[in-house]
Amino acid sequence: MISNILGDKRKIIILLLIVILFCAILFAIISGNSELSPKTVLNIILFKLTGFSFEEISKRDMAIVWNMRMPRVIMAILAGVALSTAGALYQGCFRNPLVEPFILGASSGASFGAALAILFPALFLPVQISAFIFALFAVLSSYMLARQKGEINTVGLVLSGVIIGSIFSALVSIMKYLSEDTQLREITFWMMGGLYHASWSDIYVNAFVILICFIISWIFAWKLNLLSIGDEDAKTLGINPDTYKTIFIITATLMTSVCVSSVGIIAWVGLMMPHAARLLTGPDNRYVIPIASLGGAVYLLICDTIARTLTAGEIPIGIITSIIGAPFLIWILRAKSGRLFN
Amino acid sequence: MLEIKNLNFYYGDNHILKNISFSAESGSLWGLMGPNGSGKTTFFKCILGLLKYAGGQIKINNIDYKKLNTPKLAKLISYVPQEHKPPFPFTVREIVLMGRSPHMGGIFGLKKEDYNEAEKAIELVDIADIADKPVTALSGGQRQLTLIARSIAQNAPVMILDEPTSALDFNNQISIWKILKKLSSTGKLIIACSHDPNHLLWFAENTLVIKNGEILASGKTDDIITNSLLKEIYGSEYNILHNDTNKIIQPVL
Repeated sequence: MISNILGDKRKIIILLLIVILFCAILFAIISGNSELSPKTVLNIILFKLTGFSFEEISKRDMAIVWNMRMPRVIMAILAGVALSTAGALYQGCFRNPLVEPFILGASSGASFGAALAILFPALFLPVQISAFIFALFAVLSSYMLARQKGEINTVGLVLSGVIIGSIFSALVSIMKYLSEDTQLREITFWMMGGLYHASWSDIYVNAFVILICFIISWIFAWKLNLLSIGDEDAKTLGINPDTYKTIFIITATLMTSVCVSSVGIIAWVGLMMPHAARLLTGPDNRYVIPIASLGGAVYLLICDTIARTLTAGEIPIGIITSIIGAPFLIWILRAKSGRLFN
Repeated sequence: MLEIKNLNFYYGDNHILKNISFSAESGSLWGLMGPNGSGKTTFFKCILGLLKYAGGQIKINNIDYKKLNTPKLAKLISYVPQEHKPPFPFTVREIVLMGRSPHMGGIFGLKKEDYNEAEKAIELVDIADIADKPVTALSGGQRQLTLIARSIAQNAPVMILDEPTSALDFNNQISIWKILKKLSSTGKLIIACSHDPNHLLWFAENTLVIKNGEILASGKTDDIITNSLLKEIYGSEYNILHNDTNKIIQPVL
């Protein structure tokens, strides 16, 4: 009985977050240097989706909404979903609530790839693809390093993540040292994260990978619950821990890598959102994953809107997510730790 | 039901289990005893498929373990591990529901029947009053009861319990053994290890004794637990007192 009522409460939270997300989307598209009315924005979206429109749409408004703001909005949502889901997956796999999506070196790998492409554009590898390849390469190296006799030791995995991460960080430092002023600036900006490059073609790739990975994660959420209480428990309850650890790590890594390669390193979201979700619904990943994803999407959307409207220029989004995220995490640590972890 | 032939297990160079042969039928309650470090947990983990044994054969329901994968084995055998604290605050009810995992199918998987089975297990172990509390906030004994309920919800024909009563108060120890006895009378094979031989005398009709990775004795508890056996296992003197209904072990002070 109680579980049914609880289930309903969780579903209400999901519905509420979807409503909030739609409000945030509208708010984000309206906000900006040139003010647009909600009516115009809704009309343009309607026209683009159905080909039907209530009023004359100016070319300028159309371009602002559909080519400039819409891709950023969708990219923010996708990045929020990717980082939050990956955070929840890694935290469950590692049985550690303080793990974040970059634990296995994805961020340093991606930074290295991006720096390489910025420094040597003659290699003809675009920044994004280079970042993706090296993010994936870094995580796979950590994974292979920790894998012994077909078994994956989680402590070993964290340790190899630290090692691989620091190797790539050192390589990034060398690149920064070698680079000229404009390149250095570009590398630094890339590493602080931002959605200003978002284009429709990026979105197609990201949406494809991230949505598939999200669905896989959600389908296997109950198995993640089993995995999160211990390998032996999971095995006697009928799932092979190493198989599912591999599935979850690959899924989380693909999401993180594709997202990092498009928007740079956005800190805190992946650590924070699973916690926020657990605070709302408890640790059952069948609810943590969708709620953290929706929360992450709303959070990044708001942070990105602040990033591009607060000043005349553009503030890197990583700065905003950290400034808002840190106090939240401190609050969790001080006040709610008993309810979230040991 | 369960048949073990010449089971050997090595941990590195250490020969932990030596040529263990043992068989047990469904509908019986077995107690496993032996001093610390005798190989009891290793023995259990081999039966549960958690450790790969080096030589020998284990059969459950006449099926060789080599032919059983993890999901199939979980339908045949359930496990109550030694009490441990999970890193996330799942509620007692959620942990017990996890016992239904081997029977789940589909995407979200949990059916009404699964919720009912979990409720029944919670009632049986008498932890309904703490069912909505996070296990991280409970005592070790309450977590142990939760794991026992999870194993009952799993509803497998064989149940393995590793010191299920180690963190429980006296009354709860007795009620868990009573529950185990009742479950075995419904046709389950239950093997539980305990460090209190009295428990075995009072509740387990059969006893298996392991020392240094070898079987020292196995059979009817009344025949096996004797003064000389206790002396052999533990190296000190004990007296077994009889009254009309029971036996009780008393140390020679």
